[in-house]
Amino acid sequence: MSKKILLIGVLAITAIAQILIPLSVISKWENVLKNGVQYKFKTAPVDPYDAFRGRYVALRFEQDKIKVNDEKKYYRKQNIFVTLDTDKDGYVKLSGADIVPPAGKDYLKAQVNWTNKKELHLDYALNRYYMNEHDAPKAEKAYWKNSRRENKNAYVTVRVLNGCGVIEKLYIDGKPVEEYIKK
Amino acid sequence: MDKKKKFIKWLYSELPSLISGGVISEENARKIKTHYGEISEVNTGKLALAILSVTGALLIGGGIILLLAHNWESMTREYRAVISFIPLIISQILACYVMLKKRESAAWTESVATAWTVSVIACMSLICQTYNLGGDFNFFWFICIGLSLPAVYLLNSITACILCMAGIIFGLGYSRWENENPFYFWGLATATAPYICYSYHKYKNSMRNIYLSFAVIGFLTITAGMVSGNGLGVWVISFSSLFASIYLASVIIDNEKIPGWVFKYAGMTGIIIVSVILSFKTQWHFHSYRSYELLPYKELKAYIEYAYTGALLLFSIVFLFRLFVMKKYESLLWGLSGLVGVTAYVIDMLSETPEIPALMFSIFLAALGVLMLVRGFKLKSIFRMNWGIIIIALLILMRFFDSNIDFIVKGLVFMLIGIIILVFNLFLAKRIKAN
Repeated sequence: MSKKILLIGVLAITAIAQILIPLSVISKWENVLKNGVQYKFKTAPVDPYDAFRGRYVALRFEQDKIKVNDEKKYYRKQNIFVTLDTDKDGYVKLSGADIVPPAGKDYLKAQVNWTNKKELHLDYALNRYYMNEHDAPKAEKAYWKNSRRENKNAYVTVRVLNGCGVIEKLYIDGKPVEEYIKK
Repeated sequence: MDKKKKFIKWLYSELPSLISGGVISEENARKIKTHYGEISEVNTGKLALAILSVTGALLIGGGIILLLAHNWESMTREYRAVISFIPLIISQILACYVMLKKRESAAWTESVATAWTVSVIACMSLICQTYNLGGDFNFFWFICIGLSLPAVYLLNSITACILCMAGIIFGLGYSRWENENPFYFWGLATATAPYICYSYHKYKNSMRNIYLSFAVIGFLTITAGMVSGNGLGVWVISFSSLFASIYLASVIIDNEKIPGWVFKYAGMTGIIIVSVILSFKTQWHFHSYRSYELLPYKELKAYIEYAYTGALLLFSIVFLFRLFVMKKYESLLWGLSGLVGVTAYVIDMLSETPEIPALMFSIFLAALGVLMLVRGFKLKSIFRMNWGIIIIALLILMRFFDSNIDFIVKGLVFMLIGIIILVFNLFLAKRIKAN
């Protein structure tokens, strides 16, 4: 009997952990979405299929590189913090990068993809915008059309809080992508 | 094997009448039972039910993942968050029910454990989808497998264990592909090891250990390939030691019984394949990489690769020593594969002449072939003799690929060897029948 009670106890702890860990993910991102500062990132699309997480539009940001003085300080897959600012058009502008978070400024955690001539190429782990499987291909086409050099009309809004960023919405031609593809 | 099992079953059924008739004593009957051991009974009805239940759970779980993957964007984030927990909570309630009421039913435990594992992945997937979490797939997958792992222990489920092992292989492969940290997944692999040991210990001659053995061998083979595929040819040592260890372990745990014979034939097949590949001199070019700066080998994770290879070699040496102590000399030659591999590798690095290590493996193969033939003759076993003939035939045929001999000659030699094998088998079959 005592063995059974022990097993039930372990099962209860497991069940609580299995609920608490996803809940902690949810509460963290909900907090960023509710209290984070909004930034606009210009992007470029592709549309792969992920068997585990549904259909999504893959994103690449225009603001994915930054000049640094000492690129030897950085290496591939290193976690760094980029300081965020806004340019005259309202899009995000990267104003600095360091291995420690900047004090008193908004910043986003990123990973160094590679370094090249005093320039760091970054990965923000914000590279997926999930959509309904029927809408994702349409969104991809619309996105390609609006992300080319001569027609840059696509961006995503990202809420940022304490280095964490959560994608809020993908916009094409000033409209949320879900709305844009229905027109 | 089956004939032997039938005979033992018949013998056991005769024991009561032999005791009552005064032919043997109860003590002798007990000794007979101890000598032959338990007969593993496979209840095909129960097995089919368990397999069908697991398949059903997998299909339902897969269906749930696909339904969630549809991305119901008309729902609010809060609704989707609640929905993501529903399959998980149902699985947890079912797991509790199985633990209390159906612990002895393989169909219940295996199917609920499968559903539980899949529902953990489904829950995390929907959360990632709702919050557009991308990028760090490695961590996502680690959390999924880490949260699924308790199902293995709590429900005593080999299906959940095999699913977790497959998940760990996937995670390790992905880390390697993305040049990311594989440490988490090695940690998870270590966490599955006690369950595997428990299963082998508790269910000695059962069918579940056959499935588990295939999974363990598959896991070790794939991970050995992953950790030693970066150049420098460390795979020579990894694979030759791995299959030697698998074979030697089978001899130690008794390869006439489940799951020993699975390990035995997997080990033998692996040793032959690796040895045949390494008997080609074109395979031995690792010394040429010495002059290159191989970056991955400077990183910390490279040491895990060296440690894994070293551990496999160490296991093969320890098992070899154990066999020597057990005086099972006839199996020692197969177990030498790891030592042959490391010696040939060092010779290649030092001498920079690929002919020597290739020749070493040719000699090793020839010795294995002769050993099997001799043992086959000694034990009058056509099966063993055929192993010997096949090894020697493979060795001869492979040398033809190595040389610039005319296709006509090669074709004729292939046919000749085929005819020799057929005639030899006919001759042996007749001789054994006559005896």
